[in-house]
Amino acid sequence: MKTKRFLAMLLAVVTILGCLAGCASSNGGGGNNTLDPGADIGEIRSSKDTLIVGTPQDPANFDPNDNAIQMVWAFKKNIYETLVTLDNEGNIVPMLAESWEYSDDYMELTFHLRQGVIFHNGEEMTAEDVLFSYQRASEMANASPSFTMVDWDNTRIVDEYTIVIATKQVYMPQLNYLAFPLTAIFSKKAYEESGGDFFKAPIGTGPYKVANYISGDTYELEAHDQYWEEGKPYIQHVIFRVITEATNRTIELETGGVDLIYEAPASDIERLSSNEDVVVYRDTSLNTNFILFRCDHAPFDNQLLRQAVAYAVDIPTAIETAYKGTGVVATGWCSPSISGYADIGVYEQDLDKARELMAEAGYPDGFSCTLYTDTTAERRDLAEILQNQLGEIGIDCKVESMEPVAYQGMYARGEHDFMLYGLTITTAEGDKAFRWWHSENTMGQQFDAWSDPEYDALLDEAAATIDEDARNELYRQAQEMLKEACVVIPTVHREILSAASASLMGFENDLGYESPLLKNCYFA
Amino acid sequence: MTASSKTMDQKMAAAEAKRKKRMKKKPTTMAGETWHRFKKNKLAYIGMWYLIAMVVIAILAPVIAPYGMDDQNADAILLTPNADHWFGTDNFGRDILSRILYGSRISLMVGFATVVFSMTIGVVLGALAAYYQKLDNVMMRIVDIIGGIPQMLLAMAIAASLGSGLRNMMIAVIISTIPQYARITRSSVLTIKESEYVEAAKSIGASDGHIIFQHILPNVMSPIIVQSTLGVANAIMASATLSFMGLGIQPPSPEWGAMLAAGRVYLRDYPHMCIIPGVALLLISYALNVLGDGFRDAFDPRLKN
Repeated sequence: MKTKRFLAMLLAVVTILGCLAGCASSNGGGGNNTLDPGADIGEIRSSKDTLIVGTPQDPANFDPNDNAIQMVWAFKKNIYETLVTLDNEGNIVPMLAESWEYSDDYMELTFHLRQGVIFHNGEEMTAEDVLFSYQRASEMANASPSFTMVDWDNTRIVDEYTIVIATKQVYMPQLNYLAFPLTAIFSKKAYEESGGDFFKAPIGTGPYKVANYISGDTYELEAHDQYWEEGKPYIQHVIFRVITEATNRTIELETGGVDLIYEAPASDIERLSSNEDVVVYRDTSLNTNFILFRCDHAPFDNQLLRQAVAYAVDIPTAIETAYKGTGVVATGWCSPSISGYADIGVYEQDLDKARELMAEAGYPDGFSCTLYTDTTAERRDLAEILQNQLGEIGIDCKVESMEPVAYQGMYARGEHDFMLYGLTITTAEGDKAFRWWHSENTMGQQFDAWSDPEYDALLDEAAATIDEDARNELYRQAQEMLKEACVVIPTVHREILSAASASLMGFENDLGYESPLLKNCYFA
Repeated sequence: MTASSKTMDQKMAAAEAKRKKRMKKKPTTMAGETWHRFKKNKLAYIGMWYLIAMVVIAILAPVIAPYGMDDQNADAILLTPNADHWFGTDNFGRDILSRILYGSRISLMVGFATVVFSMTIGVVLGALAAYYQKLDNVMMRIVDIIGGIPQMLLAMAIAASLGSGLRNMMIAVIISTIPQYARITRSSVLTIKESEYVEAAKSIGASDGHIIFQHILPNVMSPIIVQSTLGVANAIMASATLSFMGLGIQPPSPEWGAMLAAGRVYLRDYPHMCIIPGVALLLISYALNVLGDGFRDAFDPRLKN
């Protein structure tokens, strides 16, 4: 009996070791394949008609206006589209609207819609649908930040293909806000018929429509054959498989279980890059990760202590270890690709200075605090390294890592001393980048509880400034203030990491929303 | 006659010597006999010594560990086992051997402390329920409700609602294991309390407390001791599981389950990060299991030989 049990245990260990040994080998050499993405050929035929995507995130629902998570948009952008969108150079380009113009006083924005755009239910999209979609979006928590400045009384439909969006004041970021994926257009008729339940009727204009799904597991999409862009999409079926464990996504890609993975883990990039059958797509995003302080309770209501932390940590080394060579060490308070970015330098490690500041604040021997993080591997690692670095000057830092939902609840209640989080500036311009720290932040999320009327005034003035240089100068001053007050410490501009089978062509990371379009993809 | 009486004397003397020898070899006290039976079980004996060694290691960890448990070194990241780092280093360049040694403190402390608490509570509840019939239904139904939820699920729910951290993790493990002890104690007490010596104690007017603690509990201890030995292994695994899921101990504490969780990202390229804490967990729980088996056999003379 006892021998049997021992044998069973021994067998288990041997099996596990065997598996590990099997996995550890088989690492092919070879460099990174280069591709010619987005090939603009007239006649593209995909050699395979099903694309399987490994995604970390269950889309949860088909509501076009819900959910602030990029990986959810990466799914929904195949079903729904916006009037305008951001290209990878940060320019606003046409999507469902063909052109647009401002009124002379810049208070009104007129969109001329593309004609012949057909919804999944076979009906044509009109200005009526656009207005209805926008009105609903403005009532939804995650989508509403795009509409805070919209003047609904003067917003009107001119004709079937023309709509005027009016703003309460001159508000230059408005156009960018309408590129935000959560402002997508859906069918008014289908919405009313479904009684508002998008699980029943995800009717958009996108290149794919929902064919079948098993919640939390697989989501099957099918090409929309009346899609407005001639010949697209090239691939008939797309299946999203929800694979939450990052390593499993890598394994699935390597073994051919999926053709494309989103959010490839940083720890596997080296392994994937050396695999000839796989292409890794790496691009610096519009994202900046921060150490965010809660400024309304001790210890970090004290600016000196926030600065002490900024001087105590060695961000470049920490980023190198935690992000394993991916990403770019943050150079400022937003990504350099964002209009409004100013190169004003960041804090660099200076332990003496940190000790001085702590002494000045009345904590010469250090203090205790709790650093919160979600369960992302890189952030958790970063937290552990920062904890260690802070320990060196006597800051007793506890690390608390939480599941995403618990995490959101925690910072919504403002319980954190400081926390790790990333912000992707989806409009690619300064207003959204810096409005997070505005005391009347309308982003739906509040991290800092910091308030400075001077800062608020700067941002409000910038948003109403038409001249770009003058606007950027105001943003520069705002960044100087953020740096001085040390509300946040920028850490890294994350890299978007996707990986696909080498036969997949036409794939490109999406810098703005991290939600790439699949309509350009085909198999060679 | 002389010859025969002499042989008789010799025989008697030999028998006497034999008896004395047997007396020496076979102790007459209850504990002595149990120990004697226990020692015969080699595997359990080895398990016991392994456990003692681990306790010593845990106590001496700061002295024998070659590095600190949180000495990060950006220049020595993810090294496989080598002369400087016998068990290699992790993704922060920390020495895994040192972390395993420090980690034994947490695992053993959690294991023993949770068992002491849950056993005490469980035994008292079980004994009261069995002794006072009026309480029985109410208490055991509550215990049944708790026990009806799978232990790990209950521990996860408690840990998730209390928040992570060592103390909360221990509370989660304690609450989720109380029903086991309560049930075992109750069933044992139910049989014992009908016995004559309990009745005798009652008839001479002994108080309930006296009867429960002086007469009943000492006689139901053996199944409880067996259960608690196995329970230590169970508690260590439960806390490792909670830490693995991020509901237990928070970084940088070198809890073995947390080390496993941190290593799983690197499983394919640096398997040592998982194998080493995994084997450490396996060995300690195996040692406790065989020890528990050994106790069970030793306590129950009917199983002897």
